[in-house]
Amino acid sequence: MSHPPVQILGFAALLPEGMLTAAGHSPWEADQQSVADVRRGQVLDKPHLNFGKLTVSDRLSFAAACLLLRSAPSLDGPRTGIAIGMPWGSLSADIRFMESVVGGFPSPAIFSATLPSSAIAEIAIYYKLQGPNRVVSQPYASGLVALEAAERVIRSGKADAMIAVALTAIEPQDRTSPLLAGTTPRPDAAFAFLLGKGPGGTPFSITMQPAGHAENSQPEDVYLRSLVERLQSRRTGAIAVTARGWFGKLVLGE
Amino acid sequence: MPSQVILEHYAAFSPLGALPQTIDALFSGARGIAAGPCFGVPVAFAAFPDERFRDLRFAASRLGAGAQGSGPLLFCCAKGDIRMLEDHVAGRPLSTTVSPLLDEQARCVAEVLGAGFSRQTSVSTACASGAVAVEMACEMLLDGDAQNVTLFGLDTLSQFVVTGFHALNALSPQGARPFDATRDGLTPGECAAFAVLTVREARPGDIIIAGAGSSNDANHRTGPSRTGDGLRRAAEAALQDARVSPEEIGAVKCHGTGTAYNDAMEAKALAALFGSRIPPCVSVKGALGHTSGAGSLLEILIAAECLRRRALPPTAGFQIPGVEEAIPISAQPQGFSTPSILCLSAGFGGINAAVVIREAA
Repeated sequence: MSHPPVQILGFAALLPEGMLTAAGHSPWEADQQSVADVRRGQVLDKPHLNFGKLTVSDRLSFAAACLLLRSAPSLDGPRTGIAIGMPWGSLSADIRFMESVVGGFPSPAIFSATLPSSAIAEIAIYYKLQGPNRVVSQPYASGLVALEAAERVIRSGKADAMIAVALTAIEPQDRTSPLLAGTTPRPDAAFAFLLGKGPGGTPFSITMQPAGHAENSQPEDVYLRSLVERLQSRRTGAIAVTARGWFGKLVLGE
Repeated sequence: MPSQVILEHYAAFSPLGALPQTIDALFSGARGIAAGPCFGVPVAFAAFPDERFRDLRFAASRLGAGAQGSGPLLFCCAKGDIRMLEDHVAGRPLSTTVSPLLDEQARCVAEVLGAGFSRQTSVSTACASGAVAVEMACEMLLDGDAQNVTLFGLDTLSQFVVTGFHALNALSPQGARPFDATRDGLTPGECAAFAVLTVREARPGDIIIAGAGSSNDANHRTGPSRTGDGLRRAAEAALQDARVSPEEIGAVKCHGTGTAYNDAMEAKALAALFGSRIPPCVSVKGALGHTSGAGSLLEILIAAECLRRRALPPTAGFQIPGVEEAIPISAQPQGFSTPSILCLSAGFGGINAAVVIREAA
């Protein structure tokens, strides 16, 4: 059975060099050392009391979604879901919570962030997005696989739109943790895409397959940057993905 | 005959033992809940009778023996096996070589099961992980991306989880009493569950995964929506996916944690969904505890066994109705005739998931 193509209706990115949307690029201010230093006012026009208290994962996924939805069409809340891909799940929050347990004062606030799905919660609550959720937690290609999961939800008819977030976020003190199982964290970054059935978007499809060791594999953010650049310049075509442990193909256009 | 998603093979281990023993124990009214303390916290808890099942590799090898899956493996859990993280932060010698990273745990399970899985993916959507994994599996199978999907779930009692829920004042000192007027919190438990879903024509007696759906309350990070609207929408999505009306549901396997808010919310969702004709309902968390993300899969497998018997076990811990709506919860077994069960799950972050199972005629 053929399905109408899923479209990318919008995108946003928080990158080490600044913020990126269809409207253009905004560099960070001089006192912002990394993506994690993003300020509420840079992505959200309305107040948000807890923005600065969110864990780095929750804050970056929320900030990317805010930047995306600033210029997005209004969404049908019950029919819009969220998918997120993150390399290490909620590892930083897990470590912080266990530290609070060992210290004798378990923190209920941190405990509520010790699930990979907590990075979805803030987005869902703020924008009243009540559709299905998907969480991909794996060290490589997590964002691309989350993008694939989001596209599949729309094709299944269970949602009309999905926000797909590809997140690389870990607290600085955890970057060399032995719990990372030998993976090497890339710089913090967050990409957010609005997928839907249109109109006005760019037709899009993605397939991802696990693969053994691949020559010339690139970090996932290389392909996500390529996707964003093509969307910005309205170029169509295919992007072949060779990420560590994964092959894939993104196609923009019919 | 159209192809459908079939629950081809399944096994589990709970605080009442292996799945067949668990079912018999549930129907006899047994409770696998012990009095506290649990990791120094004065609460009731539900532990494996064989603590070797807390080891991911052991649990996978016992439950998945003979697995011949070639499609995707979905590892569903809330935290899985978190001992390495606990040991590392506490400065203790490591008691396991299993990584706390969920993808590494999925890889570990795939290695133990030895089958040639096309991919392994972790599914961690809080306490609805198992049901969401079933929903994802159905999408893969009906999309033609796979002929079979293997699901494995494990969540264990841990200082991390027990202390966390205690910090939220969510735990009952004496044991969960779902939907009861004196309910005062949930009971942490642990479980392991294994299932293979395949897509083919149904044969008489098959358990069909007829539909699945999920939603988000978009209300609060840890507390459910007071209206039950999110859970109702997940259930409606599952019913729509299954192409059945509420009147065609024979029974409901509730989430029923035993907390004041969850059970009240769930009762509202059931009333909104079924109106005045709510079918017989059960919660197993008064007997098994809240077995977390993997428990969402375990409880679907328990529902499958209930479907074969056309009966629900007693809701252990329930005595006096404690929600506004008239929910058919009972301290005795309940029979039902329509061969279908709606299975409900909910989790932190506002995630709700529902699965409809039915027995092929």
